[in-house]
Amino acid sequence: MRMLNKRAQVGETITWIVGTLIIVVVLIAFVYVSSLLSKAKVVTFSSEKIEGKLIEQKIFFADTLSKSKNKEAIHVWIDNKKNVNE
Amino acid sequence: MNKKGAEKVLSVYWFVILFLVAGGVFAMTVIFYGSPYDVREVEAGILADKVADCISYGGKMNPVLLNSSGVFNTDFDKIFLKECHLNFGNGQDSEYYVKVNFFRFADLNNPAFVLSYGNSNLFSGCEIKSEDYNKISRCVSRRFYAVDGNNEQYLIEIFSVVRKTNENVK
Repeated sequence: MRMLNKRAQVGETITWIVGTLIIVVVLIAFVYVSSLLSKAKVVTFSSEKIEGKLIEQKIFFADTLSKSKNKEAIHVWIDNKKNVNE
Repeated sequence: MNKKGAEKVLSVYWFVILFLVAGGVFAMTVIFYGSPYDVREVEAGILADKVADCISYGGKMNPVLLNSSGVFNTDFDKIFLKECHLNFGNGQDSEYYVKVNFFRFADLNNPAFVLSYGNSNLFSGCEIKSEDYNKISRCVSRRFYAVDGNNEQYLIEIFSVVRKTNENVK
């Protein structure tokens, strides 16, 4: 009877140890994911959707003032913008 | 008696787990909110837009920069900050750099005038792609054009650079 009781205790202890290990592993995984997310905190123009609106406005006014003289060649030059961050 | 002992041990265990989980949540919060948002690209873009607004407004070149006979004001860099309502901080050690190339339509390879201001050392960082890329300055370019009083077209290319790694990168 005593032997049987001990076996039950061993089984219960193993359950708690495994449970603790699972909690620790999940916590470590969450901490790792939060560190990855913290490195991805970059705000860019594409995420804000505001890039180029002011410049487009300026080009439009310049087109109007110059009566679209050399418009195509100038727009090709503008579109060939060198992207310094890529 | 035995049962009571087991309950005591178990309650200690629960406290340990409680502190473990609370510590984990605290660590996650500190890690995530402790690192700053990297807004240098947006800041460089806003700087470029501000400079663009200062150089030309409504499609016309700023008359302080370019007079009616098409001559550039070579002293414009001395009044650049005041004219454009900007503050670059500590002169040559500044965290900002702006370079503006002005081209006449007839010659798109050689700029008719170059305006630059700020810490020119930052510009070299724009081309570097290394593992420490985040710690290098961020650069933005803009191209547009404007006309002067005689309707001559000037093609304008702006490069703006922001370093500020201490504030944006951990």
